[in-house]
Amino acid sequence: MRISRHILIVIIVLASASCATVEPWERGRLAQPEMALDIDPLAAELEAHTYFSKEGASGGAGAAGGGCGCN
Amino acid sequence: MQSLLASALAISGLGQKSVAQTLEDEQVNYRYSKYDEDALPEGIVLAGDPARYQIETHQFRLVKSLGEQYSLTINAVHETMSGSSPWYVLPGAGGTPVQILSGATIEDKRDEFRGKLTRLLENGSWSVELGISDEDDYQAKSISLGREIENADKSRTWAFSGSVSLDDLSPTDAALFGRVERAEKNSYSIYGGVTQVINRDTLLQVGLQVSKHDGFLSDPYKQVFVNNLVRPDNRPGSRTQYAASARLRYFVNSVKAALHLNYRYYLDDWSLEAHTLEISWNQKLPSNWRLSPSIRYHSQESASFYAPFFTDSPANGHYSSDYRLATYGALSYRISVNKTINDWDFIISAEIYDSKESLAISGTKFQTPGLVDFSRFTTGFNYRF
Repeated sequence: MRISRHILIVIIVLASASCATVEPWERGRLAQPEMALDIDPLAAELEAHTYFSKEGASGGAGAAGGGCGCN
Repeated sequence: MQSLLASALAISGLGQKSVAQTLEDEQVNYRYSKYDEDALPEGIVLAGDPARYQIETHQFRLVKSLGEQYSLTINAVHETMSGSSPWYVLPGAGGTPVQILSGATIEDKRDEFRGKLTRLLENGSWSVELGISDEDDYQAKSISLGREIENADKSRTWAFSGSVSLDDLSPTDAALFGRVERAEKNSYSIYGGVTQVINRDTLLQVGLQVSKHDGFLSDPYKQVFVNNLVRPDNRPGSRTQYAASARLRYFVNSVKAALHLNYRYYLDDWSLEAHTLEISWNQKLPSNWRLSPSIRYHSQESASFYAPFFTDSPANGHYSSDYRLATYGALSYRISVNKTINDWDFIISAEIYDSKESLAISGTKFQTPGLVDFSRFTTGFNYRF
């Protein structure tokens, strides 16, 4: 599909973008708990499950995993 | 992302056990949640119980290291659901859609169990997870595989995963209501993404998920008013979904807070298209408190075979009046409070979700009487050992 090809191009461009070199000893802020992609994994799971059950769209942050009769 | 954290902890001297720096901390997590849907206004309900649905959820998670290179994660969920649910929509006075709901007769429970093994490698990790979800009328068995690959200085991590779910449906009261007695649904999903350190304050993750579903995809408990007859919900037997996401994390050092921005674009071959944006502010406070307010906006365009009701039979034979396939928008307001005391975290959070046809980016397409508003309360703890 044309849409998926455009999305793939955006991903490759963003991933290849030049970024500032950050030495390991400068990564203290990145290691803060607040900087995690999911600060609370259980909250993220419950939210994803709720929106999967109550909305028409789902997914985006990983493979789908198991189903349920919620939707 | 665990190795990025590990290198930062090791160099900054904040790490404790050398093993735990490269594996997720050993811990137990528990959450209790109460979910309540708002009652539908009387004016749009023609029959059934307008009070809708309530759900109580218990989540349990255990992370345990097995030696220096393996980690086992166990997830268990127990949910109890009760109340009434939208059944079908009729044309009311002047053609205005009115909702028929079931009686408050739904009593169901769901149990889910997942076990995941993670193995650390020199340049990343792999993982395998098995899962089962069991309800009175639905059982799903799944397997997921994952692989993370880091570059040499751990500033970039590629993540790939795939999953398969094999589902069996056995709707309740099938003979009484003319529902399908047994059916199957199979789902296949793959994901590819990359997380990049942008600078010392910023991380960016982008990814793409593609999913394919085959089998019985209709809702056996929903019906549709088609050409003066009420017929079972009838959706296509396959569905291909695309979801592209971007997640930005930015640390505001002056106030010791992290800004989170998440965006997802969704499209499927049922013509449903959606945009979802979430913004949260995660503020460190004195004495190991953290406050996290957030807002989420979701907007979707309806599936091609959706309408509140049909005056003529659609040519392709597919139709649904399930509000979840409609054009609408939703705003969600959330707040979370976390308090850390030594190896314990205590959490309280709440959410209010409000959906309306007029909140859709494209504006109102149909009146959809079954749109849901809900509130959720969650409390729980984490214990690191």
